[in-house]
Amino acid sequence: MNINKLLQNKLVIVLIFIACGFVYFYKLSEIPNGFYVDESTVAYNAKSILSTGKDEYGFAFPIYFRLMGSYTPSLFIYLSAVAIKIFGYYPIVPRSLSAASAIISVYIFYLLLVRLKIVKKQSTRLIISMFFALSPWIVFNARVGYETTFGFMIFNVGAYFLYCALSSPKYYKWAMLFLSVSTYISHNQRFLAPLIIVAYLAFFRKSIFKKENKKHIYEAFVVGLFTQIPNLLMIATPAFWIKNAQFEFKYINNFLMYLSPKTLFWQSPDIDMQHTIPKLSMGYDWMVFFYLIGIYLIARRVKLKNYKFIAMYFVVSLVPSVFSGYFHSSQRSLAFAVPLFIAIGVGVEEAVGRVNKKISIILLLLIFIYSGFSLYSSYFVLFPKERYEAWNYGYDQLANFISEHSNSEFLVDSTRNPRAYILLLYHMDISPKEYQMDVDSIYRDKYYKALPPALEYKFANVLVRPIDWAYDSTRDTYIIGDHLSVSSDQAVEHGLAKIKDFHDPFGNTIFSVFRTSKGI
Amino acid sequence: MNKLIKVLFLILYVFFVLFQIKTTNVKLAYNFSASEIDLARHRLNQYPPRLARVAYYWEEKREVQILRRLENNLFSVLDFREYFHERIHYAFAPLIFSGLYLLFRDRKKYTFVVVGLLVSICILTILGPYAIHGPVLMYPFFVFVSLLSIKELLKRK
Repeated sequence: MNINKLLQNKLVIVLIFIACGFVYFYKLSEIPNGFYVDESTVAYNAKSILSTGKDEYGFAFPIYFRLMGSYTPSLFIYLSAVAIKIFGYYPIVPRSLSAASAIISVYIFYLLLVRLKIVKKQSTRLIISMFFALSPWIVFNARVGYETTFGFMIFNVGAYFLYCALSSPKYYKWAMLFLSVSTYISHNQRFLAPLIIVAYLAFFRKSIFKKENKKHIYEAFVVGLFTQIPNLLMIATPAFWIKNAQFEFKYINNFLMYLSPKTLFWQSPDIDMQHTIPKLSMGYDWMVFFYLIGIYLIARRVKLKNYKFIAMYFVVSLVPSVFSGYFHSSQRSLAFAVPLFIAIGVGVEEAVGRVNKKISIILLLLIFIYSGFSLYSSYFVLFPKERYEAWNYGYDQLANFISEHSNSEFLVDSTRNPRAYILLLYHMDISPKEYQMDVDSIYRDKYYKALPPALEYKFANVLVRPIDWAYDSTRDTYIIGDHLSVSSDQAVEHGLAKIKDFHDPFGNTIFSVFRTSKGI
Repeated sequence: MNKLIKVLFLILYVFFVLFQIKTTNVKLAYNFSASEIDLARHRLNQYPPRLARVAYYWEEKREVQILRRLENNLFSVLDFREYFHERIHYAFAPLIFSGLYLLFRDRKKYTFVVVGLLVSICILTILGPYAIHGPVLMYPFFVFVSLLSIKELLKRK
């Protein structure tokens, strides 16, 4: 490659990064519209660690954060604490960590493409890297304020080194380091990392277990053992096994659901509205043809080392999501994005090679415009208007109202959102030190015992629990609920007066504030 | 394939096409319900005014919506879940997928079948997914590719 070509390459890579940076950071504090409960719990616990060295339950520097019972691996929360210290306590801060992770993931994806040599032409590698970067799946995850994308990025680095190690065994220890560290970021990586290592050892045993690799394998083993000490210390606790209860073999049929072109490129079957974008799935519809060609070619050439690696990556990256439940989860299967887009790249190269260069450039341009508008329309126009409810829109307004009335008592009905307390803790900026004193000490004393969540939460002038009509209507308090909490008949029956309504972006009521007759 | 088999295949295929047409409610695939029209109108109003024209083509223009329906039909044909579980047992999945691989690997040998399969996908895309007995037009190909897989397995033994 001559200097000019090298510079052109670098320029295109820089342009891809600029495009990614723009799409990932554009209106990041406004879209997603709301601050989702998982983002709030991460941000609040990060702040709690920063100011007290303890999480919301008052437990010092946990290995797994209890949060709302999920026992999430801790690294992203500690990283968020550092980011909050530097940039402040804003919703955009944890989201920015994901955006930065996504940009690094794009670069790792490109490096893997180069290293694999599955896609031969440099131009195709750059095009596929760009479509990977601007795919709905990656864009969506680049803009969430919790651990998924950071875990994805660290895992990708590990997988990249794993492939590099096949030709240069000095990378074994680096692969092990990154894969091992990824297990401290998200639940998904806790399953993925060991799975890919086992599959790698099984499929490439002849390349790995050689006399000359002995030293490197030993180094990797030591790195793995050393970095897994915290996990090993946790192995006897119920917190360690919290997600394993769902890991059932009967779900093997889910492979078909995850690999279906309809799932990938047309309509996401994910039932969690928080995970979906209107009118888009994980990739763009036109990718389907290249996907089918790509998987055929990978199957055809699977005996070659590089294709074998991608085939292994393809299957392994889906295993945790396939076996973890009956329903599709686009978030759990995020690791699959890398082999999926490599397969699409293989298909693109095969198809483009058969078309006239000028025609392929025109087609590419049209596809780019079409994809760009699809993304703009679905993510930046429709998504904030159609998914705000799933993203816990409106809790910031509620928190402001409660804070403005600091001398009054509030009851927030949590019947339909039992996790609402953390949203209020975050938006009301309640001091973690004060909240830790209000939490039942059993959660601190038996932290890793996976106790069931509390039924009510009390902090500042707020009580969060389902309404107890017999008791609450006789107190001097404000009752806050969604449109199903208090019917007009119930308001009359219990002598409640409506004080205020909070509205969604279309003017529909999302929360109402009532005052009990005792307070009027 | 010899000529007689090709003719027999063609006759059988025409029969399957007629059966598919007879048992499919084509209207349903291109019918726009009141709520769908309402949703399109609602979405159209979410765009900034400067994009009103593009948004109209994107969200509401009848021809574009029909193209989207065709696309939806194509994805329904390609949706693996459409065939398995209710119509074909999951246990047959490896047989069918490896057979499809073999069919495309030896596509020069089986051009007739490959063309038939692609034509079936096109016909089902036009007819839509509302068929009483499902995408019947695909079943002969599933039988064929399953036999290809079995043949390959026996050859390896």
